[in-house]
Amino acid sequence: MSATALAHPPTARQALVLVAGNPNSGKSTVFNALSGARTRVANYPGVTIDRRSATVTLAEGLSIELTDLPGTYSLAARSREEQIAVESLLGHGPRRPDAILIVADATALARALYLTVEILEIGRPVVIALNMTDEARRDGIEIDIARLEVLTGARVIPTVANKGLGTDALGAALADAIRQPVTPRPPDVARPVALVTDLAELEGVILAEREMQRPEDARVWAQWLLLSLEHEADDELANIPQAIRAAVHRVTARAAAAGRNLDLEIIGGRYQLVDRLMGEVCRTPATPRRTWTDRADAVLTHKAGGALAFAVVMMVVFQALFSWSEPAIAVIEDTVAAVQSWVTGVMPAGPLTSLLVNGVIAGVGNVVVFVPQIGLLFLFIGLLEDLGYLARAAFVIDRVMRAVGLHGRAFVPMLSGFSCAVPAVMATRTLESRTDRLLTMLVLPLTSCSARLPVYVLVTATVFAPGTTVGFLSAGAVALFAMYALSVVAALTAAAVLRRTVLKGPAPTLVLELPPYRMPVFSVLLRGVWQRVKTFLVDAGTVILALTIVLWALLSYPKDAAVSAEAEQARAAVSASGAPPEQQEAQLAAIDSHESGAQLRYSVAGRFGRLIEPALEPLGFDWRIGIGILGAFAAREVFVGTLGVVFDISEADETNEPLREVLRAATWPDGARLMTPLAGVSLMVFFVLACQCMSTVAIVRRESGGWRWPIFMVAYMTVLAYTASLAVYQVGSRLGWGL
Amino acid sequence: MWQEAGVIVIVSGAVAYLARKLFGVGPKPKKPPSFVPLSDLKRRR
Amino acid sequence: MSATSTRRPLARVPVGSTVIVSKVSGTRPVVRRLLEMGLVPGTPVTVQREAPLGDPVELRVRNYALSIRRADAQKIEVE
Repeated sequence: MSATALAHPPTARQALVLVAGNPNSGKSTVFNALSGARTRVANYPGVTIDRRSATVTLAEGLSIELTDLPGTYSLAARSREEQIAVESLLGHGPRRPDAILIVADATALARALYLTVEILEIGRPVVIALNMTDEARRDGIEIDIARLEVLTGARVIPTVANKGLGTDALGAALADAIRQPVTPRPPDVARPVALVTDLAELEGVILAEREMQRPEDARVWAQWLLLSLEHEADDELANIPQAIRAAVHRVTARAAAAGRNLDLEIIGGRYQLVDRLMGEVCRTPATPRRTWTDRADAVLTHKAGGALAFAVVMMVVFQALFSWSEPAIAVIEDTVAAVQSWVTGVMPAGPLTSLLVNGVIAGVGNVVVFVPQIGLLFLFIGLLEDLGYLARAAFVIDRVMRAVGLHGRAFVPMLSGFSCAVPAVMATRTLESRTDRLLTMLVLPLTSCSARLPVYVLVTATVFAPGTTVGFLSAGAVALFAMYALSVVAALTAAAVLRRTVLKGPAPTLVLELPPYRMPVFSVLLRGVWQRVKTFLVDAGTVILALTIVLWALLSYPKDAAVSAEAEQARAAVSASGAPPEQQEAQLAAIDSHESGAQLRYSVAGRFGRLIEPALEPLGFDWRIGIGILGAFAAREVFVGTLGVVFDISEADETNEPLREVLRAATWPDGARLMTPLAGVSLMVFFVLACQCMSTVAIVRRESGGWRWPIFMVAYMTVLAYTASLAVYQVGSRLGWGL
Repeated sequence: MWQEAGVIVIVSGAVAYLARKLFGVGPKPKKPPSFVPLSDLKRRR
Repeated sequence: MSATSTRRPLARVPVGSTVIVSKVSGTRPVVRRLLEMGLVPGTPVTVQREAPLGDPVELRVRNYALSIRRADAQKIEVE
């Protein structure tokens, strides 16, 4: 198959080929091999799973649209996402698939055949890519391809996609299937008489409600409905006519009363056929050969070895996320700063310049700075997943996660939340169920991300005099440890609570496949990483940029003309004073920061800070801290910088001595010290629990498909943070601690 | 004055963009060719 | 290698033995999933190993490896 670019525009009606298959069958590799670099990633409307499609030229004059469906073990749908995938397969009208390509793992053929039997019932031409035939041969598995073709009515093409073998033959088979479509015989699935009657009844109702292209389609849909619709609870499936739902309930209730399990009858019947096919077509050695996978698993899932391996792998990932992205982040920050200086130099001073420098460029910087960590995290996840280790990791840690209602696969996202929540939220895609994904996303921001560190460092350095100890540890270290411990406890508790209330649902079921260990295909891996990064930049990045601009406006306007005038006068005085240049510069800088501080107080954000001060006092904060907290919504690191502005310090960072001095000296109007140790702890607790990162909000919006959940997340975390800080400060004051 | 004008343009643009994302109004992104989901088929009358 | 023909839960089957599935119970989503993954009555299944903390368990079914929770294995009757 030539992967040539289209020499002419596609024909008016392009053939549509859908690619289906089990997870871990190498479907992505086959898809990439057929589609080359021309994959488009789009969204199914209304849900957040990706839809990959590409235009592929199979032969002279024959170009197809190849669309990849999510990997599934069966067509029965439990979620809106799976429903969409299935409906694509079953779809009618002008966009019915012209052929369906099933990618099957030759080493797990029986399970692939289950999906194949389901798909054959649809009655469209099927081509099977029998992938990983090299592994099958190595394991001593023999498959009679010719016989399989005869029994299924589908072309079967052996492939070793990760070595590029078989793709040409596959392309040719697809071309044949489209040019000379052969409808496969419906598979010979055994059904009890009672089931046949039930199906007939359901089909009648379906045909009365909807037009079908062929009557057999009604049976396909009937079986799908029986397996997919929930009876006790609500399901997520949409647009099912009420009459049909009622019929399904009727049939199911009747069967239950007679002691029949319809799921078992339908699925069991199919597996009977699968076993028959396997018997005719596949020969496995009597004693399974001990494969590399078995050898590796003997250690990696062993009682002690498994836990150790898990700890080591997670530590490496953790360390990588914290430190390997540093150089790239530093480069990005330096570039942003350089661009900012350049713009400041080139453009005349004024509000637009300020907006461009501190709003737009800073905003773009805020977005791009996440790319190294996102890239690194997805590289690791992709690597571990393609290797096959991720399933083992979930296997090992599942018991612990389940205690709070989280899924074993939530571990990696939660872990990476300690570095940064944004890539971690994106990583929740590895969870299959929407409820599990949401639950993990909502508690992730409670893990103490690295952006909170500058705040902790500043606060502890300010309120604890150097040398203060608790036992033999420095007070600062103890406080830091306490905050991390608090964040872990909070995250797990929040998960447990949300799981029982807002996100009630069936306990996460763990029926996990442990695929054989395989070498990852790096081109597929890297392409996947790039998709993720691109998605982030386009969907979340634009929102972050917009929010940065808006926040800039709130912090800069309105301006007090009197303050500007005063500052101008002061500047003129300095220039006219004739003092030595360094002194003049220092004085000018002081005037600048004083002016910024005064304007900040006058701005919308500043006034808002003063407005909410009464609410912040019981937590031990005054309006200046309040403004810092508001500014921190842009990014937590901004807290320190904003505090600097509020307290008239220029170029403040957490190690800045003048800022600490000023904070230590700061007082309430009545003269009492502002930053007491207790107030410091209260502030840190607030930061642990509050959702102060608009980037997180933006990415949760993207991944959950709407604003409802991010708003809920901000709300519950704000309430939590407020209550906790309040409790800490009030109880602490009563007990006379740290004042 | 053109600086102030520039600021107003950019800030309103950002606000409008966020409002659109929040309330889902405004020109929708071009829909890729989609399937006709089974559940949206024509009703039989 | 199980010599007994008594029904018992899969969770009680020692590591290394092969048994035949006779009945799958539990909540509907779990049952459906287990059936789809091949644990239908009449299927031979081997208990391969347990996780370090005892839960979940790794099974071998139709030549591939599957891991399920002990609580779910408790509801699968085998012989």
